[in-house]
Amino acid sequence: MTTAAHTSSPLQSCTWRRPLAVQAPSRAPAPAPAGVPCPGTSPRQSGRWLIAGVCALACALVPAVAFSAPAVHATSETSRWGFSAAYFGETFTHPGVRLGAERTLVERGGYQLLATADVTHYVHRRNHIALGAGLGLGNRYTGMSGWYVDGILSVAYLHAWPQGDVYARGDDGQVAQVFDPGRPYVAPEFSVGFGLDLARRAVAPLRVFVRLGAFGQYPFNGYMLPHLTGQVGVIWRPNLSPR
Amino acid sequence: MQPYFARVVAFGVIVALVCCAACQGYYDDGDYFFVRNGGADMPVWVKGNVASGRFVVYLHGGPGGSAIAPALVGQPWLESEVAVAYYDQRHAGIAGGQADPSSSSVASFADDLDVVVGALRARYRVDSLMLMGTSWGATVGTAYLTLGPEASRRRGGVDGWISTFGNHDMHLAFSHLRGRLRDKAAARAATAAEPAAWRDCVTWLDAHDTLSSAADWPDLFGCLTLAGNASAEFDAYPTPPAPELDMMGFIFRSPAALFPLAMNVGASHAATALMNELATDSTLSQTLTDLDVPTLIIHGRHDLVAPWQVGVFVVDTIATPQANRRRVVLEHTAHGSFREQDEADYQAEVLTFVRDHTE
Repeated sequence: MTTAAHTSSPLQSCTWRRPLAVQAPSRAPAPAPAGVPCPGTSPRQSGRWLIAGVCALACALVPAVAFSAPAVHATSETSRWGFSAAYFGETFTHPGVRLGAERTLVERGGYQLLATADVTHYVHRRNHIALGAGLGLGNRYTGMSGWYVDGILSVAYLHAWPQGDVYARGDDGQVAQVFDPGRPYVAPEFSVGFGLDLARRAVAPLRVFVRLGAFGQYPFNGYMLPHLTGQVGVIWRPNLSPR
Repeated sequence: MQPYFARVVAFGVIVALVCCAACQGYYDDGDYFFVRNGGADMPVWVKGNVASGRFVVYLHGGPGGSAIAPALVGQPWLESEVAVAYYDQRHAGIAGGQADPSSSSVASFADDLDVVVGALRARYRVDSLMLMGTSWGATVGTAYLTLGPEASRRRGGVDGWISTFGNHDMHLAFSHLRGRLRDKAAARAATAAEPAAWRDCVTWLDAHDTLSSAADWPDLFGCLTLAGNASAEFDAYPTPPAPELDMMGFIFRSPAALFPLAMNVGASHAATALMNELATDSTLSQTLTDLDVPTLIIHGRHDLVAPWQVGVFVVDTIATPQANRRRVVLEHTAHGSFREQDEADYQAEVLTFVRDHTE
């Protein structure tokens, strides 16, 4: 079996597990520091492409860093509700969107206990399309500077469709393209995020965040299939005014 | 516009750029669709010369392997001539859905293939169609062509059968590989720096002159993996350069996904009923007598997973006229791992067979 790892042919597939497991995690470049100019991107050259992606994420924080300059008074006002919109990437690059709401249940100084609700849609081209709705609980710690970290545990209903035409055998025994109603799944999720509360910088009633997470898709071929996710987005707190 | 709105817009633009970057350079060549059968959603990727009307359906190894993942590299030498349909079998590769591996059997894989062939005929003008199975894929192909009441109808729609490094009967294969594997393990146990694993292999082989259940698979796979990693006479041949796989594209910009690729293999190998069937059932050696389509059997001389003697049994058993059956042994090849000129010879054999037996 292992001999296939030396192969010069794409023919064997019973050995994919080993090479993929070994090779996958080791190629990610270190994130570029915020403020470094983004290099030119060459999508087909993977290393540069990934660096560009990471750099873009880093650059996404640059405005937030820039906001820190005019910091004046940290607000003491609180808003119990927040509404979020984010780019949602399954395995980071399979694009989607997540819209959500959060409500602060408990607040003690910089600590918040949150209840969250969200709807998510993403497309993994030629693999699947997913639409989900979930509820969760989270903990968030915000420093005096406005930077914060949080962790959210949630569970969602996920409906997924193959991303393409679907063929099946009909009652008459003939194979034809069919309407695909999709399949239902349960999707527990955990994510950790960090971001900046712009209200603390007296800029806007917004938080910007980057979030990494994982969710499971069950039942997928009899087991729970993990997915890695990345999010970049904003949370708007409507009744909070910047000072 | 207030300043913070401008900043939020700038932030949104950056997010949009990230989204666009995710869409660049995607593996979207060829045609792609899905086949649904028995709870499984199986992706089918058709690449190559569709206009030729000649199709080869590629059956991957495993159980639990993938055709979609290696299709990122593909087989350009074959795709320039015909259309090649790569599909991931149930609970294999990136196939999704809710197929329970514990309820799968060899017959269910053959039934899936029947739907794949039907879908190709529904979607394209198919003038001729061949099956090409490698390793475990040869089991699926043999079952499709010979097992059950539908086999005769299925053979009527197939113009050729190519088995590469194939096993259709693990009992038969084990009877031929056991002695060679034991000799290798014994030699290594006497000379290797860390002989314990080799001694375990010898002990296990001495205690098993046949496979009796799914419980035998982990030990057998362990021995084969060990032997594959230290096949002295095989590794003596120089290794040709491997085709370059764009790993970042594979992970981030392709239909493939790492988790199902890894976990479908595990789920398939943990399917006790299926693995019991593979270990103990020799039905396909009996039904081979019905196989009457043009057949090409290719094995590697150094293959310990699918010994070349399996090919001898097949060509001696099938009903295909002598002129339309061919067996090839590649002298510098193990289980699909080519050395020297064997890869070129392999490609030439397959192309010649395809040209000779398709319209």
